[in-house]
Amino acid sequence: MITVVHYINQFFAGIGGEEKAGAPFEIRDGPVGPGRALQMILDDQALITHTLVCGDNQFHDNRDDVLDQLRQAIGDLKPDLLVAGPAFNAGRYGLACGAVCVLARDTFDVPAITGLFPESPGAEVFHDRVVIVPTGSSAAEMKTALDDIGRIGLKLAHGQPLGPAEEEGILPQGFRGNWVEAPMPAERAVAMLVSKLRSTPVPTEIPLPAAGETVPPAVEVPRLANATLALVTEGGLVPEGNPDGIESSSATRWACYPLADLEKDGGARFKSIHAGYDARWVNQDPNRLVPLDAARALVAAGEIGEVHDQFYVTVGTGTSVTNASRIGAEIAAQLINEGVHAAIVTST
Amino acid sequence: MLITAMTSMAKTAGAVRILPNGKIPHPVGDPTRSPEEELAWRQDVLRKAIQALEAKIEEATIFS
Repeated sequence: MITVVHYINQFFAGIGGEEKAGAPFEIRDGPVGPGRALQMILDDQALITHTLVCGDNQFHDNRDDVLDQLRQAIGDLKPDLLVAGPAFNAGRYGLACGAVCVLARDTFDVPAITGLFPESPGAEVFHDRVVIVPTGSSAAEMKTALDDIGRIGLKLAHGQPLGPAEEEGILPQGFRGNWVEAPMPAERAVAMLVSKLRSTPVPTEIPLPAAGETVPPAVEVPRLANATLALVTEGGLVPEGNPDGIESSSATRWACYPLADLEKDGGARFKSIHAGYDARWVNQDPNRLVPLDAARALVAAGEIGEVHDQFYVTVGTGTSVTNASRIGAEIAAQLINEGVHAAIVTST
Repeated sequence: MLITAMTSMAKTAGAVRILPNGKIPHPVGDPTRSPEEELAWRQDVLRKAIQALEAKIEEATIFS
């Protein structure tokens, strides 16, 4: 028999509302509150052996102590599945449910599931680490939420792998799985085209990330003739041997190299390791990517104050938006730190 | 500011000061020119880049 431990807050345990949010952690035998309805859904396939209860304020005000108590309890009970909530759109409760699920899975390898409103704080924080069933915003949706939690929870308890989030009915966790899909891509592409020609909906196989935030323009540089300019590129130009191990694709790293090195032997010691463009012209003359010769000439002509003595480089092909944003922020922070006023970025 | 031949992608990705230039594999290079001509051409490209850096703008702008 699959054993289940259920986490709920003081409200759903029938202790009380906001005035009882300081209720201490306790362990009760069997299902409590929504756990009774969940037990009916699980029927004879699983048994809720215990219910863990903690007040919403107690959880957050004494987080470390409560997590210790939870660790002790889950470790002792060793259930096949941990269910938390559902917490719907509740802030503190939803965050607690997420934390309990992380604890169960990461510390004890116990599969865990909760139900949260997709825009709730708990879903925001834990969506990439916890199996979350999307619910309505209030407990009026309890029955549907428990049906989903029961169905998917049993899969988890049996160690069955979950399919794509949309098919399973969980919130996307942000990673991709690999499998062979039939029919073959050409047939799917033609089917999509036919659907499009018929003006019927064409669901994409690769949803694009939500549109990025709009970046407000940086304040203009009053006079480049008085400014320090840095040269930056995503074109993968590195010293031979790629000493910093910048990835040719899907980069996670960036580096900076002295312009003096780049100028030696006409740049012959530098090569592009970027896997996303034909680098032969850049390898012939790196100034075609990092316009150092022209920048030096404009410094000599008094049109640019000075050129910062290192150039900055990463690889921008297949690079995740998350990594690209981080790399950009890290390079920008270092440029500011080194007194650079302006940057020219070249992108292939 | 950003110099690229992939203008529309730069705009989609959220770049703000964009100068369309060159070709995808050599945004500040023109292998069809002699080395001296190419350097002079590249200086002109940087002069346009300087104008972009000195320009007061309110929203994403494609310079020329």
